[in-house]
Order: sequence, then C-alpha cells, then structure tokens
Amino acid sequence: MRFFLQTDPGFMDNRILDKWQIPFGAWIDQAIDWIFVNMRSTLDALAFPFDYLIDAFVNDFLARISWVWVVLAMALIASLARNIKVGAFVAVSLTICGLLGNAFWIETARTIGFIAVAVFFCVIVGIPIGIASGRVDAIWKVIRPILDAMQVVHSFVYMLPFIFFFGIGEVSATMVTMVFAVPPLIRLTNLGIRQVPGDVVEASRAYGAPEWRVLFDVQIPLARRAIMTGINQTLLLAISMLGIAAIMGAGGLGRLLFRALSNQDPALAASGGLAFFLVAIVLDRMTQREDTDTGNLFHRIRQAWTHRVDVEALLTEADATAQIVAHEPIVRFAPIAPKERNLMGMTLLGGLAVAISVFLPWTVDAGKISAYGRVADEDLAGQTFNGMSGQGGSWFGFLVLAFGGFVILAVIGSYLRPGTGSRWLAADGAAIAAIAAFVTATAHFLAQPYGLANDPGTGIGVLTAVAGGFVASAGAVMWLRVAPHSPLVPLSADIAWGRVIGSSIAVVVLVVGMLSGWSYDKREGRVFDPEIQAQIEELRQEAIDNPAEAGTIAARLQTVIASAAQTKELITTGAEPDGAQLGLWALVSGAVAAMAAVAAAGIPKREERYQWLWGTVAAGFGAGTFSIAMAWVFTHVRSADPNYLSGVGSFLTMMGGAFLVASTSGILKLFRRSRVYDETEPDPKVHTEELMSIGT
Amino acid sequence: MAELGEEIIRLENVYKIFGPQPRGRAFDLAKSGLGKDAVLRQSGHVLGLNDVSFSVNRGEIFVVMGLSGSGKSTAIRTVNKLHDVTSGHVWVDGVDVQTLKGTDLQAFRRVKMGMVFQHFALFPHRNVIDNAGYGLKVQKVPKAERDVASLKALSLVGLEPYANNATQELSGGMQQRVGLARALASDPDILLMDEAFSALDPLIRRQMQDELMVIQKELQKTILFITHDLNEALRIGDRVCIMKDGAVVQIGTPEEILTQPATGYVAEFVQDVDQGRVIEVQEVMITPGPIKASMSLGDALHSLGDRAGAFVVDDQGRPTHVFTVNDGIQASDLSSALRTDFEQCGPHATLNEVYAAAGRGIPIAVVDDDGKLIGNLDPRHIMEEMGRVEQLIDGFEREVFM
Repeated sequence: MRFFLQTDPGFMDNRILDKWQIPFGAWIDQAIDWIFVNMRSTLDALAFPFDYLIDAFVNDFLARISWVWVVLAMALIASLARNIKVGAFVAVSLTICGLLGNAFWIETARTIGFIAVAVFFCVIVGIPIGIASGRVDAIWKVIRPILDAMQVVHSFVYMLPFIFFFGIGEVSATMVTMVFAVPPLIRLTNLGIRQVPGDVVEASRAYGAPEWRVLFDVQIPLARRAIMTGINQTLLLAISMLGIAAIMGAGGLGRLLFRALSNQDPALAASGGLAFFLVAIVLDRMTQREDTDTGNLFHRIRQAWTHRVDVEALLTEADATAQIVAHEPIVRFAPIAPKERNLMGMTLLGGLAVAISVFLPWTVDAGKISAYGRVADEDLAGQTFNGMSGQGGSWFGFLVLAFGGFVILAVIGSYLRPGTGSRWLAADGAAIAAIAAFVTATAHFLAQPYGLANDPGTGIGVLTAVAGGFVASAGAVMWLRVAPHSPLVPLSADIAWGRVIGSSIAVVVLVVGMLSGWSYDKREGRVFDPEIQAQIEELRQEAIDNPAEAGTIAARLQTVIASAAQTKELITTGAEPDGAQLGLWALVSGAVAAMAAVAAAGIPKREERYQWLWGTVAAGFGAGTFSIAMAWVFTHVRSADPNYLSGVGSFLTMMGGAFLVASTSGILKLFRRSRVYDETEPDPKVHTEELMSIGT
Repeated sequence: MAELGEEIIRLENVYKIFGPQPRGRAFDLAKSGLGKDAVLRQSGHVLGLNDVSFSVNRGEIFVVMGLSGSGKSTAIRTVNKLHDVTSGHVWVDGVDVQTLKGTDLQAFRRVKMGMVFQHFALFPHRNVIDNAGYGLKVQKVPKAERDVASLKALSLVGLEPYANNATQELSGGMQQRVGLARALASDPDILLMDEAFSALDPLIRRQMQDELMVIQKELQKTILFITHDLNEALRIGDRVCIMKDGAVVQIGTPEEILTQPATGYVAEFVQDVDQGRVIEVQEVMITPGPIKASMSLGDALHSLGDRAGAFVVDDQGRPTHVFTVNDGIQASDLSSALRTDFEQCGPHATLNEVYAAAGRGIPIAVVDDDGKLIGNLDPRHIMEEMGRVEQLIDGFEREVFM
C-alpha cells in the first residue's frame, strides 16, 4: 500500500524517466575525460601530422610564397595530371581569385592547402583500407558497418569530441572533414579491387606471381579508374565540408563567407563566393577522370552526396559515358586550295601587323585610358608608350596581341595540318580573332582621353593595329567564303529564333551597361573638374605675370585646390563625354554583332554556309565587345589608384559580349573542315583478320 | 629430358567440395557414392570433383570434356593449385602439388606450367610483348632477355609484328594467340588450356586448333586441354576424358569414345558428332581375299560370298583389277568382267575421305605404304558402320529413358 502512496512518480508518469535515467552521456563524458587526462600523448601524436602539415605546408608555405608560384605550380600539376587545356583553365581561374585582392588570395591558397591536406590524409588512410577490404572479406565485413555509421551520423555529432580532444582549429576541422569524406574512397577502392576480372588475377597467380605482385601488377592498375573516381568523390565531399570546417575554426574562403554572413557584407560575400566557386571547380577538374570532363560542379557535388553509400552507380555511369567515346575512322581533311592560300596570306599579313603593332608606340605624351585612374597632373610629356605599357595600350595592347597571335597560329596551323588539331585553328577561328582585334584596337583609337591630362597623341601602333585588324578581318572573312568547311549535321530548316532573342537580350544588356557606371571614383584626394582647372591655370598665369604677388597667389591657389578635395564618389557612365565613352563603342560593336547574329539565325536567307559566315562575324564582334570591357576593367586593375574602380557597367558589357559569343557558338561548333575519306589506304588494324587467314 | 609417354600428371581420387564446411557431411556423402545432385540436396554443398582420377602422359594432348558444371575447370585448377582439393592427391612430375605452399608453390607454377584462359585474361594495361613476357617477368628475367623470349613465342603464334600494340587493338583470335604466347614464353613443360578456344567464333577456332597441333608437333609439350565441345576434343585430343557432374565418365582415345561409348551420356554426345571424321577405314575394311584372274566366272562369283566385289593382285600383292558381283552377273567370262577404275586409300583414312569414292558402289582397295592390298572396303559396310553407331545410341536411349 505504501508503495502507491509514496510521492514517487508512477510507472506511467513521465517523471519516472528522470528517476531511472540511463547516464549514457555521463559515461561518454567520463570516457572522454579519462582519455583526455591519460592519453594526452597519444592524442598529441595523432594530431601531430595534421598540425605539422597544416602549419608547415599551408600556413607557412602556400599562404606565404608568391601567388605566381602557386598559380604556376597548380597549372603545371593540372597539365600533367589531366591536359594542357585544364592547366590553362586552372591558371586563369586562380589568377582571377588572386586579382580579387590579397586577402582573397591568401584565403584561396589556404583553402587549396586545406583541401589538399585533407584529401592527402584520406588517400593515405582510405586506399590501403579499401585495398585490404577488397582482398579480404573478413576486413570488409568489419569496415562496412563502420562506413555506414560514418555516413549516417551527422557531422555535428562527431564534431564535438574532435573539438574536445584537439581544440578548435584546423586540426580538428581536417579530421572531421576526413571522417566525412573518406568513406566513398574506401568503398570505391574496395569495389574496384573486387571488380577486377577473376581470370586476370588467376592468370597472374598461375604464372607464379607472389601476392604483392598480384596486387601491384593486376589489381591496383585495373582498379585505377575506380580509385581515381574515389579520390574525386572525396575531394567533392571535402569541398562541401568547407563551411562546417569554417565553423570549427579552419581558415580559408569558408571563414570569409562565414564573416560575410555575420557582417552582412554583400561585397565580401560576392567576391568570396566567386573565389570559392573557382577553387572548387579547379580542384574538381584537376582530379576528374580522363574520360569524364563534365563541368557542372553543383550537379557533381549533389551526386557525390547522393551516392555516398551506393558508389557503384558512379562507376557504371562513368563507364557508360566512356563507351560513347568511340574510335573515329582514319580520315583526311580537304587540302588547302590555291584560292584559299592567297587569302590565308592576307590574313596572316594582317595578323602579323596586329602583333607587331603592340611593340610600336600607342600613345605619346600621356596615358590615354590609364590616365582616368591616375592623379591628374602626372607629367609624362615627351614620352612614348607601346601597346603593353600601362600608360600606352594598357590591357588593350595585351588583348590585341593575344588576338593577333591567335590569327597567326590559326593560319599557320591550318596551313600545315588542315583540319587536325584544335577545332578553332581554322578560318572561323582566325576570323573571330581578327575581328576582335580590329574592334579592340579601334575602341582604343576612338576612346575619349582623360581631359585633364596632357593631351595624348595617338601613336603609330594603334593605327597599325586598326589597319592590320581590318586587313586580317577582311582576309579571314573572304577566306571563310572559300574554305571547304561543312556542317557535321544538317542545320535546322527553321529560323533560329533563340539566336535572335539571345542577341537582342545581349544588346539590351549592353545598353544598360553603357548607361551604368564605368568608373567609380572614391578617391578622397583632389578631383579637378574643368572649372577648377581653369581657375588654377588662371592663378598660375597670374603668378607668372606678377612675381611680386606670388605669395598671396599661392595661398589662393591652395584654397582653390582644397575646394577640389571632396569625399563623394564620382560615377561616370560609359556614354558621357567625361568618361572614355567605351560603353558607347562597345554598344556599337554589340549592335553589329547582333545584326550579324540575326543573319546567322537565317532570317534573310536560310543557307548553311551563309549562316555560318554571319555567325562567325557575330562571334567576332561579340568577342570584341567583351574585349573592350575587359581591357577597361583590367587596365584599372593593373595601373590605377586603388580607390578608382571600374564600374558595374563594364561588367555588364563583358556579360553582354560573352552572351553574344555564346548565342552564336552553337552554329560554329557544327562546322568542320570537310573530310575526305581515304579508301585506298586501309587502317592496318581492320585488316588483321585477313592477314591472319593468309598467314595460316 | 624425361621420355615422352611417361606419366607426368596424375589425379588420384580427387574430391573438391565447395561450401562452408567441405570436409563435413558433404564429404562423407560423396565418399559413400552419392552424386552431385544428391549431395547438394542433402548437405547444401556443391560437389565440384567426385573421386576424379586420371593421368596425363608427357607429350600428349589430354582433353577433359564436359558440359558446364561438370567439374572440368575445377579439375584443371587443382593441377596448379588455383583450387585446393578437399581430398586426394595431384601429382605433377612426382610432386604432390597440393602440399606446396607460398614461395615453393610460386616457384613451381613459374617453372612447370603455363595457363591459357577462356576469356584470354590478358593484362589490359600492358602491351602485347609485355603480356607475353609476364611469366618471365615474375621470374625476374631482365627485360632485354625477356623480350627475346617473348618475341620468339609471339613468332610461334604469328604475332611478332604486333608486339608493341595494345591488347585491346587485337581481335579475339589474336588476343588468344597472345594468351598462348604468354604460356609458351617461359617454356614450361605443361600447358593448361581452360576452354582456350571456346570464346572464338567457329572459323577462328578451327584455325587455332590447327595451329596448336602444329606448335605441339614442334614443341612436344604436355597439354591439358579443357573444352565443352566434343568435336574439338576429338579433333585435337590424343586422349579424351569425359566428365559429368564432377565425375569421370570415360577416358579413351577419340575413336574409343566414338565407337565404344561407355554410357548413354557419352553416346548422346557422340550422336552429334560426325562419325565419318573419326572412324578410320581399317575399322570397317574386311580381309581382302583376292581372286585370281585365271579363275572361271562361276568360281569367282562363288568366292565372293556376300562381298560386293574382290580384287585381283599382282606378284607384289598390289591390286590391279576389281571384280564386282554386278559385273559378274552380266559378263560371259571373268576377263571381260574385270575393271581397273577402282579407288585406293590407306588404312588410316577416315570414312569421310572415302565417302565420295564409295558413292560409285565399287569396292575400294585399302593398301599399305608399299601399295600392297591389305583390305577390301565395301561401300555397303561404310553405311552399315554409320548405322551401327546410330543403333548403339538408340539402344542406350532405350536403356536410359525406358
């Protein structure tokens, strides 16, 4: 009776749960305490390699050395591991990360280092475990449930013990990333070893190979594809863990984004996000398998997440795509016709002129474009500047040189080996580059010089570039008309309205770009508008005329100059005469491109080669539009006052130009130099069966 | 060098049971004489080899033939211990292979035997010459020396020009030649060929069989050949072992298998084989019993008995004329009945080879190397011989199914 009368809660009462609680948390807590107290040295030993690599490799090395070395090293690794194309992509992407600013570059380098260290440890740990699991069933039976647990439990759960044991910081962040990212590598290695055909392994054994040889001669080489896929998956998952690693105190772009979020700083978030995105793509591209060059990073990360447990699907998918890559028959391409040869010569001549022009004087006495971002009274009188100097061509020169070089490359390349090699080393590639060079040089020629500088004289270089660009463009377009190119598949018989709409949108973007700010001046120093400039001149003259009153005049001069000091930002659009008016010229070029795109869409006449010709012209002017804006942006990145920035208008113009190129690239990709199938010279491999039967 | 014909491989009461507990109840059941199905039903274990014994002599092509699941591939794998046996001994050159372990086993495999696989099992990441030289690489032979041996082996199979190609660039038949070259390169005594030609299409398969026989004539290896194709077995085998459900059904020369099938199972196989290709003339011919040209027509007809015809021989015993019943009935005397347009053949010719000649209905003279008449081949007997095997099979079918 007393039992029921007690104040104790009854069995059905929820309070009983407090009374009978299982102290699971306390047990673990005790265990952690015990480990922390008694196994300090073990924990330190565990942390040491992580600590060492992160300190010595990432923080003291990667983040310290010149960014140039990092970019070059990464590009070299990418070229060796994949191909030169990926290497170039890596170089460009990382350079953009660097140009966002030193703060962004250091975090970029740290991110690369952090991922590299995490993946390195995953490989060190994961591949041997995967191999052991693949060879010994008993090990796989133990490993498999552990992997399942690692993948099912959320990273927040095991974050805590790591933080407790190793403290907040990069060491525990790397370890948590590893726990999260290593299972697919183990699974795929295991799978790869198991998928090696049994008879090939048997063959190795039958010839008396010891087990280590079976492993290194047969199993690992044949599992290489699976292992490489595993490393790539690990990398993708490590990238997706960067946010959580930032929460745990790891440095890198994750922390930058974290800070942007807490400070609500959109500029930081945008730049950090761009760098993050580029680094992720760079790392992914570098570790992708040879046959899968698919770009969509978010799709790939999502796929890595969904296939974390069921990794087999990844392999079969990749194999399916690999099989599509079939052998192309041995073909020859149409040889260079005599009428082509003359036009190629003309194009080459123009291209050479364009290339040489860059080394000739582009401006005299003053910087033309670069002066916008410089202190106004800089004295450059009497000097000449070539196309590559900051005061001369600025980035216009570099771009013109690049386009000119490409024209030369395309002509020589297609002359030596017509049809083979890169698809763009042909008439249409040359035409696009030539038109782009012409447009870029012309824009530099037409640009309004900065009014308050010494009036810059136009150098012979710009004129050579414009003339060379024109000759090359004309030659390349005429070459296009006679080049024996034909489409790989028949062009659609309908008007390509998508191309028309796309280029119209591009023109709208260009108009908006022109009317938006191209320069964004937040220098707190003196800005001399013409009125103040006139006053200054007047006072100076006065001082020269009346040397006696020089003292008072100097004081008045000071106040006038002081009145020029201002703290407001000055925004100049792409069209107004105070600016360089490059927005206007970009719009003109974009409009030409859009009209050519309309012709390429097949509105006046639907004929394959006609549409291809105008598509090429549209792409050339589109590339030129892009190049104008890009040269402006990079000129200010290169040589301007840090408080003088290029504006969003130039960015929009770049987008518009890129859009124009993209809207016509569909038709260009279809056209190749015509193939001549050679019947008389058979491929030796096809005829082996016949040879065999003759031989026996 | 040991002599040809001496025993080199011997399987002695070999059992192989697949399953978690191979030496338990399943083994007892198998030893008590139960078959594969019964063992599986009663113990859940698969009886791979059931009391298999056979021996292979040096220099011969010994073919193990059976359908899938008959244990033939298991049997060949016990010879180089890719499979452990459950019970029994496998002797190779006086060594019990099953007792070998670790480095001894590896050394044994390197020196003694090469293996050719059904699906070629080439190493796809190595080119042709490196594939061929793999056995030597395992033996740590230096690359230059290895390449010499590999090229020699490749030239044996006619693939020398392809030494630097990738294996995937070759056709199936050529890939299997690489497999064969790989087995020959380290010059082992024994070749284990596991369904070596089964994955090839019929024409190429036939070619490869011919080539194997040419190579064998030159190199005198001992070849243990596994196949599921009886035609192939009879074509290339010096002796054939037929297996069913893990047990040996019959061992014998191709002719013995054909003419004296031990069970209905063998007979059923034999049914599909073109008998004429295997049965030799000497099996069917009758004693010549020549007649003399000086005989009277009546005596000559009398001496024919139930024969369709007889030959007249000269002093050296060579056949000169033939006398047939048909001619004898129509003619007035013996000399006018004799004819010279008869066919000759050797005693080892197969029935297929004389089939066309037999179509004329005139007896065929079987002569030895000197041209002496040793037998008389009656066209009727050829048909009868074919029919006899058919009858034999019918009889077995009655035995099996009724």
